[in-house]
Amino acid sequence: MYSRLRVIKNYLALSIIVVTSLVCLIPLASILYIALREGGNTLLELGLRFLIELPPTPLSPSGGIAPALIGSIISSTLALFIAVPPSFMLAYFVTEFPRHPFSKVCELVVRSFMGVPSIVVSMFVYYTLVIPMGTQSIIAGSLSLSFVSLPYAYVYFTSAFRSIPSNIREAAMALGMSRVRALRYVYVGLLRRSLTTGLLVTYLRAFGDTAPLLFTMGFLTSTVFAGLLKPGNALPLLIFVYALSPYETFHRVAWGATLVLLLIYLALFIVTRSLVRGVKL
Amino acid sequence: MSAYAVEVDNLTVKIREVIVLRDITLRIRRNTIFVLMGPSGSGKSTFLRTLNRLIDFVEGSEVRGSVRVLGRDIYEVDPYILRSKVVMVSQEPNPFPHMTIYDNVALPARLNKVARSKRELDGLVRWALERVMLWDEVKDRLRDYPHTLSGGQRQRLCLARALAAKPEILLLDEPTANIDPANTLRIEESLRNLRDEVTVIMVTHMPHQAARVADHVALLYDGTIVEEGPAREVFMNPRNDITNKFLRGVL
Amino acid sequence: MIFPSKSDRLLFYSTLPLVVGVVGLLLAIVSVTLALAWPSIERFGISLLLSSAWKPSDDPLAESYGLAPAVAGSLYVAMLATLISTPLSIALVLTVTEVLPRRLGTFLRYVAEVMGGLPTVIYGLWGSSVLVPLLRDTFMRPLHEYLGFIPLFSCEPVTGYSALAASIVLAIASTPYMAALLIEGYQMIPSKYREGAYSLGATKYEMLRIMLGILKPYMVAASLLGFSRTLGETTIVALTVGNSLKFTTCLLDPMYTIPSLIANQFESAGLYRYALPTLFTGALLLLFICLVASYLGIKLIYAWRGRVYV
Repeated sequence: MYSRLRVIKNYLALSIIVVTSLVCLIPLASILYIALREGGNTLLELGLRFLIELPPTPLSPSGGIAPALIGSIISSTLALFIAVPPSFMLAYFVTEFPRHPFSKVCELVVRSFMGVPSIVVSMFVYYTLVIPMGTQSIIAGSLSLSFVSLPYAYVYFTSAFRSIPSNIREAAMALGMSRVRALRYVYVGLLRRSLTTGLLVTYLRAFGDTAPLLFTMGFLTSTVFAGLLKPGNALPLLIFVYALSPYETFHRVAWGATLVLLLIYLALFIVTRSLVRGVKL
Repeated sequence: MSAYAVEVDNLTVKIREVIVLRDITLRIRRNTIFVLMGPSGSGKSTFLRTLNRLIDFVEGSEVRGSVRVLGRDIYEVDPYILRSKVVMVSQEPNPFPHMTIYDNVALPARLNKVARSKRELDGLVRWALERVMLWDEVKDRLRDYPHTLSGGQRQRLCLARALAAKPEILLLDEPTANIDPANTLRIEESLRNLRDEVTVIMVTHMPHQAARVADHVALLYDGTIVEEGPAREVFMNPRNDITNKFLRGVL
Repeated sequence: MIFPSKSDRLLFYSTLPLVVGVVGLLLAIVSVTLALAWPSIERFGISLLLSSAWKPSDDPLAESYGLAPAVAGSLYVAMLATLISTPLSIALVLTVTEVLPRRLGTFLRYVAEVMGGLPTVIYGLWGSSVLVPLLRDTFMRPLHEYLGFIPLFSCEPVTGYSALAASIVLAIASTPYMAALLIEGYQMIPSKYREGAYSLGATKYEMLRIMLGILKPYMVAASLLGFSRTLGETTIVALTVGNSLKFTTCLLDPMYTIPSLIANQFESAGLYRYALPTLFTGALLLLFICLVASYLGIKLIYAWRGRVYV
């Protein structure tokens, strides 16, 4: 029977639950507000020049984030190119032959990969690529990013492939299409939206990741782009280094960069979400 | 060149240790319409899926015995090549939703290189759609998508898609089970006209449909062939009591 | 396993090098880390885990390093962060899936997803310049004043940068991730259990308790995965934990975690003989614990899935 105690307990518990979850989400509002305030100041000072100028020295009044912006764009794109093809093929293989021992090995290994801390990946690439090359470089940073992104892209692609309805698979097979043909002519078309979203999500993740770049990317401030085999910079890296520094100028630039990063992130996020919503089957 | 499209000897199929088809021996001639009839659950779909090796995808499936299609043992050829010559149409219409009506019909033909130029392809698509009597209904909206078609039209689309692949054998798994009577009759009529170009092996649980369409029939009951022969004979003088019961609809 | 078809074989042989490559990469990471850590393990042995010194020197014989503060700090921060974010994410999941009306729930889920993917460096910067001073004045000072007799709070929070601060920011950042995991698991529970609870006369809250009971192993798994993630986190921690080598058990004191130690000391470590290997030893420890934790977490999830679908 519904004693009053039970009913009260019910309401009380539910309210606590709701309030707790709101507590989790308030920080986002604070982050947005502070970023707009602090970063906004910096951006208002310089306007769009913030995006094109070079970073300041500790004593100069202001500077921009051009090498970091370019470096982020380039390294995320490269990371995408390196990580996506293997994870795509592996995801396809695992969903087509789920019972093959190789698929089981693959699933285990790739999912374990997600447990590797990204700073360890950075150290690994440092030792295996940066030291032999003699310098930190954009390519090293991109490689590091791609290693970290690979398992996430793989998980995304496997869930996309698993969502193909079995009657479509049967139709393709019953018409005599080979698996690869079916992939190319049927599955990819069907999964157009999920696959694009997967690419965007992977790009976004690589764009905002800091730890993989720590020992591999370098910290370029003297020019906007020095070449793929030379040091570069990246937005999250710049923010991190400047935030740790004691100089006021650097802090201002860090906030400006934070606002830029936040805006890029939100913009791409909204794009990917609106893509996902429009799937019609 | 064998006179038979399909030669089955002592075929036994088990799925997860359950015997679905028991010691089946059958001959199906070329260019006939062969109908395998029987009550639901008797193993008819499994038989079709054995012929084109779709059963390979079923977990726990075991196939014993010999199956020769177009003179060759099906386990000695590449299954994808087999399936391009032995094309199946499923019970549930499944046109590819992200491709236009035209592209759906054209796809297998394009892949199997049946047509060599755009004009040939156009002609083939038209021919296939005419055969299933869908051409007049869709000729002005070939660039539309399948979801704009009714269920019956979609099934005819799938049939056209299968025909455009120019198969040697056409497998039909209860093609009109989910279709309204008008479309059912149209589909049956188009099947009757296909005899010269393909061998049709159809599965149905409706004896009247078998009577309307078949040259040759066989009754599958509980995994075994209970009776088979030319359609007229079986329907007029069934030798087996089970056949009798099935034809009268009491099975 | 034999592939009967030529095109299947082609697919297999072209994917094979990728599988080998991925397995090889994982093995390479583990073995390179081990190899580079070895000089330090050989030289210092178990004292790495016990000593809190960090004395670089040009004379290799005078060098002395210990990872104790970093290891302790890592465990402190990760455990505290997981302890904080687990109940929070449970509350979030329940709110989003059951308590709120559909539209509001979806909106909140959207917000949580935004938070989940937000670059960690933004959390770190915000945490260090906004949250830490706030925490210090409103939370940590009173904690020290009133509960200072407990060793956990016995030190005075001067700057606010501490294990507690790092754990809180880390918890805020990883709650969305854990919540997403839990939502996935929650939605895997067949609806018949939910209906069963209601049809026995349970109130919503009571039904939720039953569902949580079913979800419990999954929650443990999600906590393990969350723990593994927070252990490996670098940016947030480096910006909020204070980066001090002093070994301490007080949560209000600045500390080190293994990733933040590595991030801070890596550059200068190359100059000394045993510094870099020591950092790699730290990395090795980190790698080991994280791999074990996430492996256990994944196995638990698979086992749970098998039971729930019966």
